[in-house]
Amino acid sequence: MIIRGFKINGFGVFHQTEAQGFASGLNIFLGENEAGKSTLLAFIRAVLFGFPANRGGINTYPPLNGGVHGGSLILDGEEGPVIITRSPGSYGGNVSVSYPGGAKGGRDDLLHMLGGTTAALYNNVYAFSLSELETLQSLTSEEVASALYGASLGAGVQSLSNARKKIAQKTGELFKPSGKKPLINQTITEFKENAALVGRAAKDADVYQASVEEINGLEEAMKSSKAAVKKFREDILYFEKIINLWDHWIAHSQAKASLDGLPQDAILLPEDSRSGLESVLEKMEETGREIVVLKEEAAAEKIKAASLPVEPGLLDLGGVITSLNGEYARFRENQETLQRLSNQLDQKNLEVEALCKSLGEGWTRERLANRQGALFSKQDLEANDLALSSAAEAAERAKGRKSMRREALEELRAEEGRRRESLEKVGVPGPGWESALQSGRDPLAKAKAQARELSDLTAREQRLAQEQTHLDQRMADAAALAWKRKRGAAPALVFIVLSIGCLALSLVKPELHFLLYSGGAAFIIACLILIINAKTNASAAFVDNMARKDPEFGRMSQAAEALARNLEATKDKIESLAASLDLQTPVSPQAFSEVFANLDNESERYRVWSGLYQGLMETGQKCEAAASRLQEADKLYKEAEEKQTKANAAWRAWLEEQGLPNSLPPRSAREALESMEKGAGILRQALSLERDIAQCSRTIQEFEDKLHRLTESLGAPYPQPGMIQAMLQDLSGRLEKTRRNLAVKEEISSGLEGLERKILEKNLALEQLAKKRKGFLAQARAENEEEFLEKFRISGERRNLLAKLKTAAAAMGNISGEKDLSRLLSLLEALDRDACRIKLQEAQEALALAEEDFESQTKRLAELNAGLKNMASDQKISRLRAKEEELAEKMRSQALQWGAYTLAGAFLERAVAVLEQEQQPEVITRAGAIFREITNGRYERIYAPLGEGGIELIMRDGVRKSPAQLSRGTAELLYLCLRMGYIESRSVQGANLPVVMDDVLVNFDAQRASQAAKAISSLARGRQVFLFTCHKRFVELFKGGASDLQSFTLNCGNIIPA
Amino acid sequence: MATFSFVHAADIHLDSPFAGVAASAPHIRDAMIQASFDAWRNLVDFCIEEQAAFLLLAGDVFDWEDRSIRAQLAFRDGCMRLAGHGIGVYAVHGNHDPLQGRYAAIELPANVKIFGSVRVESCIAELQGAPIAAISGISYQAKEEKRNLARMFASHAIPEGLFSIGLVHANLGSSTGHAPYAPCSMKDLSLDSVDYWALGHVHQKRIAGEEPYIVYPGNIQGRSFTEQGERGAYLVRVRGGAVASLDFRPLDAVRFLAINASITAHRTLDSLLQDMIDALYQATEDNPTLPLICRFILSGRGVLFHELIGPEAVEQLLENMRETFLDRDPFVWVEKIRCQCQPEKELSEFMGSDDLLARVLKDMADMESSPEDLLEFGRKSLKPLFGRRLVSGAMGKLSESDVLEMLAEARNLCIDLLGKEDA
Repeated sequence: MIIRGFKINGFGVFHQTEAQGFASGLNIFLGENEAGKSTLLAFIRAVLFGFPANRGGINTYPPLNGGVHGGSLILDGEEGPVIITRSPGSYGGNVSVSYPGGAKGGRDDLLHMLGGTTAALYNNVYAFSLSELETLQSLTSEEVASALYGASLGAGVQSLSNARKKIAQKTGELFKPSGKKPLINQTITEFKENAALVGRAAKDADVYQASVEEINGLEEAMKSSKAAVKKFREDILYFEKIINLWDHWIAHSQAKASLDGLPQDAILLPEDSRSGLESVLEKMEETGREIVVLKEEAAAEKIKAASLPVEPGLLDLGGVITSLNGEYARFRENQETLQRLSNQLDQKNLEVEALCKSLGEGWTRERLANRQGALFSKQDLEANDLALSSAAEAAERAKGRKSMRREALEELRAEEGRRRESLEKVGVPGPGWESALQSGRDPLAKAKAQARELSDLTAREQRLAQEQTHLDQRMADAAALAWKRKRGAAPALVFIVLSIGCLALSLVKPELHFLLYSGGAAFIIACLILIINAKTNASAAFVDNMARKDPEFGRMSQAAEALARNLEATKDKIESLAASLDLQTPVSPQAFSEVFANLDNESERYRVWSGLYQGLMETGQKCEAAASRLQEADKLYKEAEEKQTKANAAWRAWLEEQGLPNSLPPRSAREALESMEKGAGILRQALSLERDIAQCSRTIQEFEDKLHRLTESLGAPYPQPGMIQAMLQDLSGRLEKTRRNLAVKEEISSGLEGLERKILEKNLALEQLAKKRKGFLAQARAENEEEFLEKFRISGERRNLLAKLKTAAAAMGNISGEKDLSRLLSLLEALDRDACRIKLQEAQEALALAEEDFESQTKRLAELNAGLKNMASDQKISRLRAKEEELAEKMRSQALQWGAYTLAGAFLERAVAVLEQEQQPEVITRAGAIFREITNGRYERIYAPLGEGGIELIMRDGVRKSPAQLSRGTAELLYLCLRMGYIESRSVQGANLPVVMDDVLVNFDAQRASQAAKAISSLARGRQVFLFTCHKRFVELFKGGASDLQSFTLNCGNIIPA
Repeated sequence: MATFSFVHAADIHLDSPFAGVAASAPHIRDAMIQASFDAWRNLVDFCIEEQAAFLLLAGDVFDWEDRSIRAQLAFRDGCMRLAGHGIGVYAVHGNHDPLQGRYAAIELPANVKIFGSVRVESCIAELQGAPIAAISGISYQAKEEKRNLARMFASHAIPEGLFSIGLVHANLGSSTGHAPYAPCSMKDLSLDSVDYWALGHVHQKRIAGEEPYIVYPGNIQGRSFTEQGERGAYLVRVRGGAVASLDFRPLDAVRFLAINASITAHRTLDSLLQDMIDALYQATEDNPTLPLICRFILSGRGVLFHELIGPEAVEQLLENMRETFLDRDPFVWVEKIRCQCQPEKELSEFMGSDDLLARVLKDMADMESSPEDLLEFGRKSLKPLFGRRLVSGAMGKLSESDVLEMLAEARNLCIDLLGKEDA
């Protein structure tokens, strides 16, 4: 991209400022402070990449001296100048790109020209000021740093920083040699603690062994204690027995002495013999009393039975009497029902007669009864009624529709007339309007397009003419300048020098003064001729020759030819179009406005005409449709009338069939049918009443017949109608009494039989008791009851004594366990009771002591056994060992993970070290070469550590330095070289944007400034460079180095070629 | 000659913790601690059920030299149950429970014969009062038994005329993966005087010879993922003075299973998870009555590599698996998911360019081809951690396989960190 000029509309101090003729190489702008150097830098940035956002602290360079913010850059294009214009608007301002020939472009065209260079990259690398050069910050934004330091090393390097961070983070999380928090450090601590617990738990075996030994000792001691307890318990038992035996022994001795005092021949009677005898005597007395009472009861029952009366004759008629009593109420009810039904029947007969009369002559009870099909008649009537009303309604509807359609047709015909009148008012249609209306085209479109094109071409013709004039002027200026240079002042100067030389020589060589004077005069004349020649215009041959030899002039000449051709083609087109529009060339603006006004008027007339014409056509179509619909409605109306006539005929036929007058309307016919149905219903009710009356009469007759037969059986007269119920109730009472008395008599009879049986049983029992009494007396060998009682007393005393002896002996046997009583009695006779009591107490005391020992031993044994049991089931050490294994596994897993990350890091660093040696970014390499040259080899190279987005410098002696360690001037030189390195590197890839530097040499000393100028001049050989400076000395520095150089002066918002 | 049967078991390792397994659920921890005891109970039940004449225990009855009390009592109780059924117990001790260990002396019932460590001893086993077999054996005195115990049988007078059994805890042919104690060769075991060598020490069941029978029954309970699958003992039937049959019976109480799952066919973690769940359901169907401790090994190349290289995705899979099988009875514990998968792109493709990742991978490959250099580089790089005595004590000295394992992981990390956009 080469910028040939600026057109600044309004930007900072600049207003309507133009500058042209920038060199393709180096352009130096000299200006004092505030002259507008930074403003021009910002202007170039703004036109190419947009106005900066108006945020706090950022200078957007608003127009201070008027004009619209923005302006244009004029670039070299293949076919002529390309103008990029930036004006206020959203997204950094509106962009337009104008091409030679009038073509226009926008933002996309500009982006294409910028070749993918971003605003950040351009602003920091291509176009920078001193303040931006002074700081590294402008080169460390991610985008710029990536472009500068990492672009050529591939994706892997871009991830390096993240990879390093991740590895450091993970290894740090897992393990640190002196840390506590990392996971492995924690696991190691836990492992140590657990190992200590395992060591302690392993000592349980010693405890177990000691416990087992103590248990063995205790078990021996407990055996001794147990034997002592057993012995003392036996002693205690022995003495307790002796003491317990003592009272029984005394009782035994006393009973034996008493028994020896009783008579030896006494009979030992059973203990219950006395009570047995007394019981027998008592029962004999009781039985005698019961026999007397039973006999008295039998006599009283016999008397009671004889006093009860009965009527046997009534018993046979019991069923009839009961039946008649039950039926009497029904009998009375039937008598009443019969009367009521008879009354109802009479009423119904009267109603039937009245109905027959209402239906007219010929209608009798019999005809009414015999009439059939009432239901169907009603259905027929309803069908006829519906058909009549439907036909009437249809006819009415058809009539209404016909009337409505007639009205619609009339309205449409009126509308058609109105539209036709309106169309006639618009006037005659233009040529081809009707066909255009049918095809939907605009008949004036072609004329309009031609007019617009003609207008555009006329404007273009004017623009091209202006450009041609401008170019011709530039070429003329260039040719004049060259003419002057070649044929004017310069050769004249030579002749002046020669003439002066001749004059000077004539002073030295007087003998040759004539010759020398003549020569000098000739030179002066030649000089004068040349000076006069310089004032004339360059010849055509000179211009042609110049066009061939000077490439710049040649380009201008070619552009001028292309412009002329373009202009000619445009004029031809204008001629052609003007002819087709009936216009004379050149077309005046007034003619244009008349043509466009006529076209607009005709367009409007076509719009109105087409609307009315279409409306008229549509109305005509509607009229035809309405007439057709009216004919259809008339036809339908006639059909409806015909249907109505048919329905009336059918109705009359039906009335005659029903025997009704044929003039009856459906409503009257419906009433007559209802009367017939009602009469038939009443007749059915009368028949039902007659059946009920007959049934009642039969039931009454049956009851009366039964009553007759009863009175005849009893020999009694038939009762009066009001006495039937009284007679039946009396017969029932008598029958019931007879039945009750017979039952009582039967019951008394069976009771008498039982009493007699009991009397017999009691007599037999009395005899048995007498026999038992005799048995008791015989057993005691007694004559009577008194003697029996005495012998029974002696027997009882003997029995008591024997029992005492036995009890005492048994108790002694039980207590002592001794079966041999005599041996026991002899032992007791030899002992002393008190001495035994003392020995018992001694044994009890000894037992308590022995039991206490045994208990404590048992308790301890239980404790030890429980301890052992706990140890047997204790999983403590198992758990600790399991945990030890778990921790070892955990440690292993973590350690392998740490190892993997550590190895990954180690291998990564090895590869990085190699790669850093081998593969430096292109930008850095180029920048290093420039830097080495500028510093005369003091700095060997620039070096970018891999993936860090920064740089280091390697000095001639191998020392490494970071940019922060450099002096300010050297650092700025470094940053300048980095930018130049990038620009050169990028230009190889195709993008070659202008470089803009704003006073970047200020901080350099004379030597470095000279070297930097050399480097910048070198840079300007391959691309356009704009250098702004406020120091004239820097301008001088460049004059010797750059071949294609233009210098300008900036002054108060003006750009003046130097 | 009598017809009888006996049970040959070894490496009971009573009260042995599981190695390399961590469980967070308490009931699973308890089951793991209890597993060796349950397997011992299963062995005793097996002897009683089969009415074996005697039980041979070929060393490592206990897991530790100092034999926990709980383990000894469990052993005594089991022997007492066997005594109740007239079944004798003949045992030697191995490197895990040598005789010189410091442990509480718990008295064993009379049906138990423990062979001494000084010389080979012999005793006669009887069935209903009649002699049926001559059993000769020798125990370890210390853990590191360097003697060739099998060879000592040759100079020992073994009783003749009965079925003869040699009982010893030995490393036949120096099996790798086992401590090289009491080494012996097939030649040492080729004795005419022994009909059946009842060996212990190698945890994988193996019949090394049939004339005479040389048998390792393996251990009865797997203790880590290196001891997967069924574990148990042999029921040996003897008829006419010769082995008539050998039947293996699984007796383990908890079973270890490692399940491989390839990521190649999966585009999403959900799909991979479903595949893993299906595989585990299949494993539970294959082992319906046993608690299972499972480990998944994710392998293969696939797009899920980058997701799985980070711990979060693997943790998520693990949680989902555990939750799915939470209510299974007997339990299934998914102990770990090891990610050994690789990126979809071949390693050679990564190494084909000249960028940083390619250089790292090439450097790794070069180093891998020289194991000695790799081990030295690994030891040097990893010294801050692996140089610690406690760490090497808990994990063992850093081995070549450890470094290779870490290198494989490091390679994947580098691919993930540096080559994600290319993968």
